[in-house]
Amino acid sequence: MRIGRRALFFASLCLICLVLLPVTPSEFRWVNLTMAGLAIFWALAFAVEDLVNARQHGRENGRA
Amino acid sequence: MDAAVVVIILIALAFDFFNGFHDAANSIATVVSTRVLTPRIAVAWAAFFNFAAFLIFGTAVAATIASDVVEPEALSNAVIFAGLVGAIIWDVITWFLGLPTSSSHALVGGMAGAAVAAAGWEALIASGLQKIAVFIVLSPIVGFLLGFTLMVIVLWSFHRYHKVDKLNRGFRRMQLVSAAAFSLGHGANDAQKTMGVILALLIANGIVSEGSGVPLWVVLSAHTAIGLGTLFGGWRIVHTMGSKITKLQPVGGMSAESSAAVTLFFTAHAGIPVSTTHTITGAIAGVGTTQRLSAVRWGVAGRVVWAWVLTIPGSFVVAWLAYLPFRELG
Repeated sequence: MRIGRRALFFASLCLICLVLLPVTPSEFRWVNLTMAGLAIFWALAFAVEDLVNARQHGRENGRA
Repeated sequence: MDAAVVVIILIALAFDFFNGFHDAANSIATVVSTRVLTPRIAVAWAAFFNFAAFLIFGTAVAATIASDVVEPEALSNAVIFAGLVGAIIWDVITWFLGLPTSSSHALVGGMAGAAVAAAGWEALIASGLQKIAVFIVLSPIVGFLLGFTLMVIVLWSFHRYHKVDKLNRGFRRMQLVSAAAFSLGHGANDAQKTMGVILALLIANGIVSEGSGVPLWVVLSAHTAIGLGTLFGGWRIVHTMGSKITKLQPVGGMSAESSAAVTLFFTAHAGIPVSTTHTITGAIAGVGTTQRLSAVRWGVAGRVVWAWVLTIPGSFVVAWLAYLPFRELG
C-alpha cells in the first residue's frame, strides 16, 4: 500500500507554506495558512483515493 | 527637470515597454491557443486592459518599490540609473540563457545592488525585501493551488453535462473575461514597478515630496509604455505561437487565467511586487495537474525555481558593478 506522487506533492506544498510562515510579515500570514490548508486538503483527498484504490486492487487480486 | 532625470525616466519607460513586450505571450497565450481570439485581436485586447488597469488599481506596488526596498537617503540619479541598467542587463543575459526570469525581481535586485554599492548594506530595508522575497516563492504556489482548485470545481460542476459543444462555447466566452482580468492584473503589477522607480527618482531630485502619491503623468506614461510593449510584443510572437504554447482547452485557460488574475489583484492591492510570469506558470501547472502530475512540463517549473534563486543575486551583482564607475567619479 503506497501513497501516490500527487498526495506527496501537495503535502510538500503545504510544508513550504508553513516553513515560510515565520518569515512572512504578520499581516500576510493568513495567505500561508489558507494555502497550507488548501494543499493539505488535496494531499489528504489524494491519499484517501490512493488507499481506496489500493484496497480495491488487493480485493480484485484476492478473488483472481 | 534636468536632462539626467529625463534620460533615466526614458530608460525606466523603455524597461516597462520591454516588460510588456516580453510578457505579451503570457497575456494572450491561452486565448490564442484555445482559438477564442485571433492573435491580432488578442494582442489588442491584452494591451487595452494593460492600460485600463490604472483606472481600477491604486499605486501600492509603486510605493513599495519607491520606499520599501532602499532607504530614501541612499537614492540618487546614479543609484537609480545603475539599478535599471543592472535589471536590463540581467534580463538580456537570462533571455539568452532561456531562463524564465522576472523583470520585477531583477528590478528589485538591481536597485538593491546599486544602493549597496553607493551606501553600504544599511541602505537596504530588510522588512520590505523580506516581504518581496517571501512572495517570490508564494505567488506561484498560490497560482498553482487556486488553478488546481478552480479547475476541479469546474470539472466537478459540469461532469454530468453532456452538451460539450455548448459548454465549450460558454467557456470560450468566459475566457474573454478571464484574459481581460489577467491583463488588468499584469498591467497593475508590472506598470507600477516602473512607476515606483520614477517616483523614487522624483523624490531623490526633490521634484515631489517623500510620501506623496504618484503623479498622474507617471501613472499614464507607465501604463502606456506597458500597453504599447504588449501590442508590439504580441505582433512578434504571432509567428512562433504554434510551437511555444501549451495545449489547453477553454475551460483550462479560463481557470488558469482567473486564478492568476485573483493572485495578481491581491498582490497589487497589498503592494507586493510579484512576477506575473511565475504566477501564470504556477496556475497553468495547477490546471495541468488535474489530469496527472506528468501532464505538466516540470522542466519549465524547474527553470522557474532557478530563476527564483538566481535573479535577485544576479541583478544585484550586475547593478553593483554598474554603479562602480559612478563611485570612482565620486
